[in-house]
Amino acid sequence: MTAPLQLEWYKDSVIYQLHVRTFFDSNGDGVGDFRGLQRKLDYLQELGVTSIWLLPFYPSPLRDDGYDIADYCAVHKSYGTLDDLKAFLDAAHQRGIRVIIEMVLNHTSDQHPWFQESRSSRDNPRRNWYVWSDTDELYRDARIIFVDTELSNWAWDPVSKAYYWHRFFSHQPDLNYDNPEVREAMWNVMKFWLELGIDGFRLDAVPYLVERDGTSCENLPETHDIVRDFRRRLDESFPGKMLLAEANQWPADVCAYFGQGDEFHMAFHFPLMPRMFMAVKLEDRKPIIEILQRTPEIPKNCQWCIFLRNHDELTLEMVTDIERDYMYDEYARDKTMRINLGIRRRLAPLMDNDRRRIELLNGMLMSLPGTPVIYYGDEIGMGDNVYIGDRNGVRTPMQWDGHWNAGFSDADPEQLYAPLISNPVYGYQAVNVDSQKRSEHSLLSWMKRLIQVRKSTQVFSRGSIEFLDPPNHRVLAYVREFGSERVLAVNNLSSTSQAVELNLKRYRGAIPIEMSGKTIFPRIGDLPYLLTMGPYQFYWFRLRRI
Amino acid sequence: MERGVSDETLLSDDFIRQLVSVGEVDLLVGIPSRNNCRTIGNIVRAAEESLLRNFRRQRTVLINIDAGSRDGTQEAVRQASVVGTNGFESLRTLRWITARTESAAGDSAVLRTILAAADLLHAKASAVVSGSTAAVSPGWIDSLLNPVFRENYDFVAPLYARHRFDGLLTRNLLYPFSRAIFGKSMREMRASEFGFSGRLASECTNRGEWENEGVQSAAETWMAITAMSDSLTCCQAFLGPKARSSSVAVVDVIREAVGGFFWCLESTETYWIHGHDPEPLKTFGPDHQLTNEAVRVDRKKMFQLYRTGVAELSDILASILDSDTHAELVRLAALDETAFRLSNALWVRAVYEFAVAYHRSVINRGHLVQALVPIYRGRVHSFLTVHRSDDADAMEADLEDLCQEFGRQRSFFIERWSTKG
Repeated sequence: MTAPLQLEWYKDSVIYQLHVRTFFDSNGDGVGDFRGLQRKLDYLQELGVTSIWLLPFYPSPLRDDGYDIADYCAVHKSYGTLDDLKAFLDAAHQRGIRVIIEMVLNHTSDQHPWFQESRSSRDNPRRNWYVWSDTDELYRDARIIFVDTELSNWAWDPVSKAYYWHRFFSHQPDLNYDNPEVREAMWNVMKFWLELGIDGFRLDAVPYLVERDGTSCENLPETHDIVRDFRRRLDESFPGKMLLAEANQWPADVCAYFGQGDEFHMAFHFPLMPRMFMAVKLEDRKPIIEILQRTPEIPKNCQWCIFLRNHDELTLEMVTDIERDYMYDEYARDKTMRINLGIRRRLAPLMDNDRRRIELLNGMLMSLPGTPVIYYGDEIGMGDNVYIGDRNGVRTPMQWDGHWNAGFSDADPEQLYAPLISNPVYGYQAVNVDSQKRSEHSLLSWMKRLIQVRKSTQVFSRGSIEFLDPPNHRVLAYVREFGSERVLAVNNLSSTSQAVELNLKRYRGAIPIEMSGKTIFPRIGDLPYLLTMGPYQFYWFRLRRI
Repeated sequence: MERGVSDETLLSDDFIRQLVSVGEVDLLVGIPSRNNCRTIGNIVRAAEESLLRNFRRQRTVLINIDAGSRDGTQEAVRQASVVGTNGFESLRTLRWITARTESAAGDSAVLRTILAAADLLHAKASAVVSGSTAAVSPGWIDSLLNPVFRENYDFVAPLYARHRFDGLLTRNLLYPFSRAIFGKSMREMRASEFGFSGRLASECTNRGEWENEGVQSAAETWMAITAMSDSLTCCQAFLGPKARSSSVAVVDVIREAVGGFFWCLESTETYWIHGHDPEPLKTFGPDHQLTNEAVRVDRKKMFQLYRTGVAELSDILASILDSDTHAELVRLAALDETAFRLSNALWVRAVYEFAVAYHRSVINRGHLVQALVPIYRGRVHSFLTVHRSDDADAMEADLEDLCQEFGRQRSFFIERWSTKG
């Protein structure tokens, strides 16, 4: 029998999120592929990540960056073959890196054969695989998610002369989970990949699986029933595999997706992310403390997944109107930077390329409770291009070196799936892996050390958290505790030096040892523990009793 | 146990520790208090509401400096603060600093502590609201902070809706006198509420005049005059109705307010002695509002006190005033009450002569200022008689006449002031 610690590998993971298309092009066609990704596994191993989360790589018309899947059991030809994927998977596993793939449960592409059959006639056996209606009056209480592009959650299909339901783009019809055949079909899809050896699924758009009139059509009990059914089958047939929920909801609502430890293993903590940015801009710990205090306990076998940036916009759905206005004004004054209810920018530009702030945010990411996700390119401080459509500006080719196409591809630059970042600040000549590997002081080298320290103890991945309440509100301090291990994390959210007095009486007699340099600090006594901190500085102290 | 703000260093270690924790702020609201447990809760709630509602993006701090209350004022602050944040969404932590001072310097030490905090915290705009003021609304705080924070003024003097017979020392002496001398129509120079910039806080904090009795007795006046005489930008903001102040002995008021004002004249002489063209003061909201409820005033007693005062202090008044002025005051004292009127011209002349005598220190300055009390009583008697049934407009017109009279006699005053006596 596998020990629980190993079964719960996802708790100790450091996840690296990437799109195959963006990472490395092995065949010179301008698009990244699985063979290319396999060749870069050494880089990821060296960085220290332990899991890769792949964005959708399935055959797709690519009208929503692959989230419009046309075939669930194949690989898009631009990215290689199923065999290429298998080879990559084996190579990753050989390096101790697990692979999490995207699974879009809620909807398919309108090009998926299921939908083509479904729309073909009202009598088609797959007709009931999607949500059809003769009117667009049903489910009016459901909000529109892509407010910039969609006016309704219903779209008229001229082929079958009926409306179909879609919570996202109109070319992404929602599957009908009230139909047991659909649930069975989707489980078979998941089984296909699990048998191939993948380690987990990030399930997309989970809250929207089921519709009921008079409700918001989000987080319905029937949706939880479906998730529990998938989880039961997973545990029975594939123990040690993991389900990660994408549910952009308030913590109390997301917590429901952990169930009694019988639904998802992990879920993203969406509301925390914008508040980390807000706290740094406000120079005030309040937003972070408040949201984490509002976050309920989760079952012991579950874990939050936390992140700074990802392939989507910096979503501002889970903030108040006042907070959203503030975030827009501070981080996206130029309206081009805004999309839907969010901001389409990468970490480094959001931080004005301020290395200290980038480090501080990564420091919090690695020390707050949850499994951290690093978005590809953020480890070297890549920039974005807000002038290309949708959220593609944060999905540009990985910048490997300062040479042809940033070392990403041998194709002509015009052939690349997206233009390279080439401005003087964030362009590939200035920001790339090769140059940063040469310097011990580069962001990349710093990130490697940070991940190394994070992985040196399970206190970050599994420990409890207790917030300290120092009078200086610009300082966010907490103690993580796991077994006999204790780590004190102190973050200066301010652009100026700060002095802070910490009440550490509980740890009287312990010696704080700064974890990156292993430097000994004065023993903790009865008096408040005084620390002086530089702008945006953070410390992690292991509290040792010797 | 919380340590007091000591005389030697002004700021206690505990206070500095609190400042360190708060760090740089955009806005500061200072609330001085002494035995104000009945009024301070409302002020705290109003201040918090103002900051949470209208300045939610700004870094803010509220500071209560208590001058040794024995009635649970500080506890009332704590209780009001807990309740006050309810219902308002704030982006930031609302910061509080509380301290006590037992300094002999009294109110000036409290103000000095607030100014020092504003200076050390780099507050861009600050407001002071007295803990004793009743009926403070959130709008008051907005009105005191906004001109500084959003329009870069350095000093915001308040304007209140007052009873027409309230604030008579201000109406009859401080306002018209200061307007004639400094050229700025600041109606409420001696106020318990005002706003100020970081620049003014820094300027005042770093001046070495705090130990002087003039500053200690009228620190708010000194601050207003510093703003007016230092080429800083001043304005006025209408706050609303101000409850009538509890009765304080006239002698004490004159000693502190007039003595302090005379001292300020001396310390800013280089600014005003060569004259300044009158400068309109930007006013936010109405520039005056008088209310008209019936009040009982014992004018007869006031006249009696004038008469006896002028007689008893005759020798002292003779050393302060010109013989003509003195003789005229004596002549008036002999009249029947119904015939008695202390005119604008005589009043202005007497006040100017008192200021000159103060400047020359013809007698002990404390005694000198107190000798103004009977004359002030006579002036108030006349004021109440003349305006017994006047409406606000008539009273405003008369105030303007008085200001003109102070202006007319200004050159006489400056000449006398400049003459070595």
